[in-house]
Amino acid sequence: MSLYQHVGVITPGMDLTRRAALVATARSLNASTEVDVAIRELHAQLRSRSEPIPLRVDARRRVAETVTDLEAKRERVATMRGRLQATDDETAAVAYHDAIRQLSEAETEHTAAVEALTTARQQARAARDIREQRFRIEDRLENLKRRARKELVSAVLPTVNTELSKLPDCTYTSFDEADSVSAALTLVRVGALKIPVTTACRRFSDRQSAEEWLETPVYWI
Amino acid sequence: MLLVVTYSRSARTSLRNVCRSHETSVVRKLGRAALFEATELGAFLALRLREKHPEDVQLEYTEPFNEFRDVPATVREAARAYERRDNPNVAYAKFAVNSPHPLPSELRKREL
Repeated sequence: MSLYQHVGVITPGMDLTRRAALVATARSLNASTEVDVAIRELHAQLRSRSEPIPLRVDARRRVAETVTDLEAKRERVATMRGRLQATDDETAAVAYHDAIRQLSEAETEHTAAVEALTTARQQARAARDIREQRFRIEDRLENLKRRARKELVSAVLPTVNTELSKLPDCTYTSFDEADSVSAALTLVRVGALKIPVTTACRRFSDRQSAEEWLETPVYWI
Repeated sequence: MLLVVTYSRSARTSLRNVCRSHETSVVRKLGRAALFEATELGAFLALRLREKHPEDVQLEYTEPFNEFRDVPATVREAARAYERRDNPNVAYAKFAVNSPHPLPSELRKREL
């Protein structure tokens, strides 16, 4: 989130996510951290490691369907064999051979389905090795980002506290304890904003004095 | 049981949430993986995770391992003999040479 998204509209009782807003303030000043290079490298590594994992859902369904079919065909063969043994007539023999042919087809289809699933699973396994690397990189990246945020906060907090104590009608000297309007106004003053902020608080007597203190153009409401 | 393995941060977070809210269906939590009970509820939870993260959730059906049913005696005996070896610094590949036990290359070739 940009600094503007945090402090673009300043009204009494506004919600301010303080730590994130501090980080955004430091970022608006192009503050850098010791881990920036490492973070960029890890992002590049993540981009270079993208391997889609083949979805196996159709292959699994096919195996389950063909095995059901296979069982049905087997049963049919058994039934037809029984009937042939009992009657021993021409139609029963034809039906029996027909059942055997269908069973053999079902067997072929099932074998093909199993092979397709096995292949898909092997591919998925290979792709997961890459996921595994990505996962580790993501974890390292998250740690580094946390460290970067911490560094950015420490870089900007002393200035923010100093400027806060200069804010008109403000008795706070610590950013963490200040009310959200005072805190937000101070971040506007310290940070660099490209878009005018909207102020709807009664901290300044007029627009000009607001702009002077905030050091940025203001929509005065 | 159902083994659920996750392969992304978001999938791991979803798994943790499921484990937290359905403790009775979770047999074991293992960081980014978990064992769910082999019940329809276990399957339901596992499938929900796969639905949410189709690429980043692996599901396997596990079975208890019975070495007396699933593994030839030679392998069991080799494992036992190697763990009782006199010299703890000798690798199995070396240990197996000129012994009644199978070589790693032979073991690798034979599927269970």
